[in-house]
Amino acid sequence: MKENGVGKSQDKSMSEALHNLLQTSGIWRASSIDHGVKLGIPSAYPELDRQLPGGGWPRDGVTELLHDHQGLGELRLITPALAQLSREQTRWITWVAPPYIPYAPALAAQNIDLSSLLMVTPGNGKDALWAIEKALLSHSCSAVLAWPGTIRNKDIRRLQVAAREGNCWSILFRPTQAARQASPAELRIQLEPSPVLSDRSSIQVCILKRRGGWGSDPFSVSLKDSLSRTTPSFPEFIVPGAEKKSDRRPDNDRFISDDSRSVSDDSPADERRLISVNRRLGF
Amino acid sequence: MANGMAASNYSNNALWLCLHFPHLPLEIFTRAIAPEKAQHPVVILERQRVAFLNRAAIDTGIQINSSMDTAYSLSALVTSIERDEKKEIAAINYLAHWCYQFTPTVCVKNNHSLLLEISGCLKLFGGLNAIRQRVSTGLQSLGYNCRMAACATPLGALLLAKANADDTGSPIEATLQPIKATLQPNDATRQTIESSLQRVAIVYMETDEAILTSLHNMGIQRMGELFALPISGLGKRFGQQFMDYLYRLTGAKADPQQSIRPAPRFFSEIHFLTDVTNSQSLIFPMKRLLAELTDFLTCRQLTIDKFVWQLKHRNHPSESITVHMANPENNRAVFLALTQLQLEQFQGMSEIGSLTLNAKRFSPANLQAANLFHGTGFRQTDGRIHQQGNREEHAMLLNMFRARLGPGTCFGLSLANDHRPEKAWQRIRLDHKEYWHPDESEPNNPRPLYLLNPARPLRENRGTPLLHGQLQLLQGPERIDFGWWEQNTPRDYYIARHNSGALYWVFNHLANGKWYLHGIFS
Repeated sequence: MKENGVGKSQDKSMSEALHNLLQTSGIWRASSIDHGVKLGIPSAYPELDRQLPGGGWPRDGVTELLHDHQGLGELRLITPALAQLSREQTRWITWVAPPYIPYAPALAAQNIDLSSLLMVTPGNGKDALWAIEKALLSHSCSAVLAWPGTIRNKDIRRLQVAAREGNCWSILFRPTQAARQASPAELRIQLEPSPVLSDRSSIQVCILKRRGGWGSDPFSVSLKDSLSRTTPSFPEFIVPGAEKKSDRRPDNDRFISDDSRSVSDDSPADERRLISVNRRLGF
Repeated sequence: MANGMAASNYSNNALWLCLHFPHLPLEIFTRAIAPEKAQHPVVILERQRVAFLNRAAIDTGIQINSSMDTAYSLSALVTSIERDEKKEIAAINYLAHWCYQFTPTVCVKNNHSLLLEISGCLKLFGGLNAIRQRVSTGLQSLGYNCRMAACATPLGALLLAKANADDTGSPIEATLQPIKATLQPNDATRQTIESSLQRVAIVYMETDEAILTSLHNMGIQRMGELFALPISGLGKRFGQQFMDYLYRLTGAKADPQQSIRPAPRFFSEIHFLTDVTNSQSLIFPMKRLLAELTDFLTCRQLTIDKFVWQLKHRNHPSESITVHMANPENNRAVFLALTQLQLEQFQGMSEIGSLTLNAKRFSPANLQAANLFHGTGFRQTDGRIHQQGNREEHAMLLNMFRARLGPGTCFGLSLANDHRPEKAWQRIRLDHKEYWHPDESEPNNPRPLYLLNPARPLRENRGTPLLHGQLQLLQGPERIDFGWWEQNTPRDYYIARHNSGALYWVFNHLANGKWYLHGIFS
């Protein structure tokens, strides 16, 4: 990230040196007195709250959520906290470069006040980092959710400082391979799909790094919804589709469809679109 | 006051100066011609007839109301232009704003005349004649000629000015007719007005043609003869409207005028002695112009939400940088910061000769007291630390995003009143918070946190969708009907689970049995 993206062009080496001193030595600073006891935002998942320092999601600093596939419940894990932030503060919840359109009816159903949402869609990674940092520093965001793509360690450090300064919770969504590298983020959580399929959907959570403690063993968090409940008599619903196929037109004119929206199974353009979708979905 | 007939509610101190532009339709075109080329005959046509003509055209013998054929037979050089009333109105409005330098009360009358109330500025400019001198010199430098007359009533001034203008297609250079109308404001009584109007022909009155004809038939030629008639008899014969005109003309009745309200506009320009080649060197002159702008706004208690920089050079087409703000502001630091953000993106000109700053569209300032604990992290109102954020900080963040990332890149989300999944939401602008709220809560069918727009087609295997392995349909179907007007058939929505554990929202298009991925339960 270029230096001009940041408002402060102070003597950088000086501040760097000061920063290192404060990090390593035991200097007591009035501004950091409450860091140890700062109460988190309740996540609404008791099993998660028990593991998080402060009994909930942090109110500032960088939180990394590492996952490979979209759709594990990575957003459902934080939406109760976002709902609370949107209700108790007038500050924005900013989404920088989300991979798809966050769907307003679902967000409203999660009790999030839509008027607190700010979507930002920068054109490239550099602008995305700039936007994240500006949002964090602005004092006018309670949380910044960001999908930064590739991000370097020193950028995360900058964001961590900015999040502290702006008293803002920064959530970075990153691929699991990032778990192998160290990161200055305060809280790092790896998300995996739950191995057991039950009526209540759940997600496997493993805390890699947290303030004031070692990482945790993987544990399961129940997401309080019934998305993964199977409709009992489901096969009967599917079969009509199969029946329909049998009484439909013969196979040879199957692709000559009257519906312009339909796409032939084997068209190369379709294949390309599928591949691009798959890539974004994490396959 | 010798005469008590002046209405009590009429200000006796008023002095109206009327500027009448009899040749405005011609002058809006000829003012562009240099004086040495003024020998060229120009005529203005109205319904294929000559309506206005310049001195050179008169000299060739062309007359008002002659046809174009006649004109061409008299002179082959004549230029003819169709009359353009829109341009005349624009010109008279421009002239009205120009006259605003003399007095705040400037009225546009009949699209060819201006009325200036000058009683308040006589002393400032050194008397009526000095003002007339200034007005006429200034107008001549703009390329306009006018007839002027002053009177205690607006209609009186207008009448005199029209009488002064010779209506026979006279040369523009004609001198003022020697009708004296210099009234001392304090003598503005009915009698003095009447005496000064005495010699004016009645045809200049702003009244019905029929009344003028019958007055003429009565043998009345001049205003003096009209005033000599008993007023009650005139009222009976010509009606209330004519009487009303006479009362307002003589000041017996109040005649309020609607004066122009000048639109505030900011324009300032800096010319560089040597061409500027580095955009960073623009910062200093920009600061200076922004200081002028903020001073301008502060004096008028205004704010702006947009201003435009123009960079010009004689060898290049000029470039402009428009700076938008989320909320109207008057803050130099904000203006400068946003300008700098835009300037960083600007790949414009290699050399710049002059810089201008333009602003219009102002809104009244909404002044509020500054925060006592500004910058300390504490909030005066609630004592909480940084919990609420304030409006300026909100607006500044939006401003910065728009300036660097482009205007369409930040938006809000709202629900929309539609049951179709694609249309149940909308993007909205953040400064107009028009969030739609449903009246009652809808039945809570699960909806995904991400929507794919448009839906992505999926491959299928014997009736079940595929996406890198089979999708296991967990719940469904939820049938959503689409409007026949959209030519869309119903869809059956299912929640599907992928091998990786991801939950997707897929639908089966009932018309063709194809599967689509429409959302992700993130």
